[in-house]
Amino acid sequence: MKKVLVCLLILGFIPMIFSGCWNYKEVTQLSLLAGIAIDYTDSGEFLLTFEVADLHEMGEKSQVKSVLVEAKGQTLFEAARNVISKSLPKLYWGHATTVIISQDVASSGRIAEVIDFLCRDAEPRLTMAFIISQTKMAREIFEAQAPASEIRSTEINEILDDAGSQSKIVSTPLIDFIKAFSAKGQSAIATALNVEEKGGEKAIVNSGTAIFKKEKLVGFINPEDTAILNFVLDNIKGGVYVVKTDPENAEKKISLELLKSKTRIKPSYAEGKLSMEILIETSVALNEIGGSVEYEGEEAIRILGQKAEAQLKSQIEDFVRKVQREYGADIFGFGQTVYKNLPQVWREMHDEWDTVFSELEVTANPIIVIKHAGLLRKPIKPGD
Amino acid sequence: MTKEVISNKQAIVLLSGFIIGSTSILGVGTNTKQDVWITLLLAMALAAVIYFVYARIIALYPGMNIYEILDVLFGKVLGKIISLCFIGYAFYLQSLILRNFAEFIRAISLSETPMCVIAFCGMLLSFYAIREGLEVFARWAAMFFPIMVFFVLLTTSLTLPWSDLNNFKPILFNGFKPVFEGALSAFAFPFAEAVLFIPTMGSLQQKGNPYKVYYTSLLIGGTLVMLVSLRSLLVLGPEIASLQYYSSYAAVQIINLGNFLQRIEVSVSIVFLISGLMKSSMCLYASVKGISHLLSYKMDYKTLALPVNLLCGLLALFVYKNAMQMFEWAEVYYKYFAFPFQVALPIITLIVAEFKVRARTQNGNQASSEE
Amino acid sequence: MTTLIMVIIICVGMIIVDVIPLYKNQQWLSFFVYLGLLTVAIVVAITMDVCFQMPCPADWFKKIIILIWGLED
Repeated sequence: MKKVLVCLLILGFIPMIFSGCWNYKEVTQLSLLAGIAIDYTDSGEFLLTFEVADLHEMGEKSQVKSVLVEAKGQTLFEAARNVISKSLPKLYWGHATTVIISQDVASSGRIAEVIDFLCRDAEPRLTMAFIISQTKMAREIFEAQAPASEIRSTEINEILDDAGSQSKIVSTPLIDFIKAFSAKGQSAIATALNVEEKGGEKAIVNSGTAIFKKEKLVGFINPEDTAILNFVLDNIKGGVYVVKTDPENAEKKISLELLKSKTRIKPSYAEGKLSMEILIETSVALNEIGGSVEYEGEEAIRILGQKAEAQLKSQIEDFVRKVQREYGADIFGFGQTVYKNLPQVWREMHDEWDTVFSELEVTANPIIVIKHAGLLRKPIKPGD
Repeated sequence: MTKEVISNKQAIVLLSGFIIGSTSILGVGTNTKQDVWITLLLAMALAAVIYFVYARIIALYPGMNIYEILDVLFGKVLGKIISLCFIGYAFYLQSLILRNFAEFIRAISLSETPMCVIAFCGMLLSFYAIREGLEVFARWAAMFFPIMVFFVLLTTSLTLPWSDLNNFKPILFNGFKPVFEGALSAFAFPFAEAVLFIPTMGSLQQKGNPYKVYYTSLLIGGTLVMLVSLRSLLVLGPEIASLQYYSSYAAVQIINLGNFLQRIEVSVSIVFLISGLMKSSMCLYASVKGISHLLSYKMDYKTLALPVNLLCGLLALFVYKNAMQMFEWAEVYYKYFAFPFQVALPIITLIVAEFKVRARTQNGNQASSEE
Repeated sequence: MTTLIMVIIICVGMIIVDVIPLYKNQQWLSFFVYLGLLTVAIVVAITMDVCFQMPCPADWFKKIIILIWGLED
């Protein structure tokens, strides 16, 4: 009797257990979202462009295809859900790697809305690349050609991964952006991308950094300045630093390969005046000597290092001054440094930090150590 | 009914798992931001004091169940009433854990599944654990605890490249008061909840040492809780760590080693599953053991496990109206709610117990001297 | 509705596994306590599913706590 009952019970459980989840989705039924571009329509609604990796035609020879889908809505979430009605299965956000925001959205001060949406939902990941497009519409980035990979978002991520050997690009995953966005005494920055047209082909190019002040986009800085910014933010992981050795002869340049760099920002407070010292320690390798510069021996290398230090020092100080004057946005996180290291000073100053920042005295003290000079003992010269 | 016995080591493992419990995802003291480590150290210091009380009660009456001790101390009627308070607390706490469990699963993956399905799955697990008996469960815990520790250590060490020690600064920017308040919250949840472990300690082996069990577990469990909280702070920074409901889950999301080792945040769920199961089973054990005592052991606690557990699962469904209330409750009101059960009742019990034991030994001495 | 269905399924399982042996062994106390708890569970499940939203105990506790400790919201 008991056995029969237990059997019946087990039989009753089987349909429930083995039929699986009631809202399960097969991989083939999901549309894998690769990236998303956020624009405004003319009427001021959000226009989302989704780049979807189309797996339906995956077969022996066909590739993954990139499909662009658009949706409009008053809010981001409404727009995201409006996609469902367009004959696509529900988008799966877990693999999205890129979010591109148009200048209009970023400068209208609704960036907080965007990051709230991305963080509140469980599917989007905090490691997505956060990008501001310098094109008119953010979706133009998705319409550009992608030589390396069929999916634009993957392509963009490869560009950002190369940041390690470039130093002219700043890589801001969503989490880093939010950290800077929400931190006291720091303004956020984001990667800026642009589309360039070459011979009828549109290509995605790095266009430096987008600068935010509070929740508004206030401007862009070019890739060269971005390299300087990376020095200040301690983001240098590699790349090339070009030194002009002779101010009169622009051709005399040497290239240093950045091996390792460490930046410390030291705030000091004396007599009611706050000042910042940027200490940079960089080890480099001499990689190229151009324009028949004479360098030989240890002493010459030391002088070369000093020249590089002087150049970097003036570049950094000029750049900081430019940001202080033009944008007034504390993208270097000086305020954050003060808050962390001199909390008493911060308590007094945080209300008028904007004015304090724009008048802040900043000095840079880079130390450049040339570790080696490649394979050549001295520059190759023509033998008459 | 043969008496169940668990060893020192098993008790330590169970209690450590109990302390981590749902803290592994809820996080403690996140609203004290960069001072979370001070908060936790303070909470552990407070816990060390109260653990002395808990361990002392057990040490005074070795081999006896807490409910029997209460009967001896307060008499049949008052003892039963106090037992009922403990049972009620254990019952309520278990439903809170089931609710945490259900909310977490609903928030991160099964957003369309009705909550009762998730809560009942957790419920059935702890029912099965208690149904098989404490000894079996203790052995299970001893087996799975290392796995849990492994995952906590693994995820913590993998987040190291993203950790920024500057997030500790500035120390005590907002003064000591919020830190102290946070420490009281962290003391009530999770450390002092170990009061519900006293019934389990009744089954400790004869040569076991309750002080050792409590303090070793405080060290192990406290360290793990500390690791989890510091991981969120160092990886996410104070602002975001206090913004996120499930900050440790968000912190582990960041891990990405060479595009190869990534998306391992499910390990947080594994830790939570194991420790949450330990905690909810220990609560269930406390409540059914108590009910069994109230019925004068005419009904085995194993038989009681299922119906009591079912009620618990049902309570979990309406114990909070929504997730926001759950977090507010855990941070603000829970410490006041739990105070009588965690601090007041044990201290009263201990005082009465000390007097009784003194009186008993004096009587004993007099009796022996008269002879 | 899912809650009720799940509760009923679990109850049926419990009756088969536990209650029938209790009845056979004539452990009447256990039997009635068990049945009583099951009835409470089913009644709660029915009220939750069919009738109305259950009052939330956390709200009551909150009121009591605020009353006793003199807290302000």
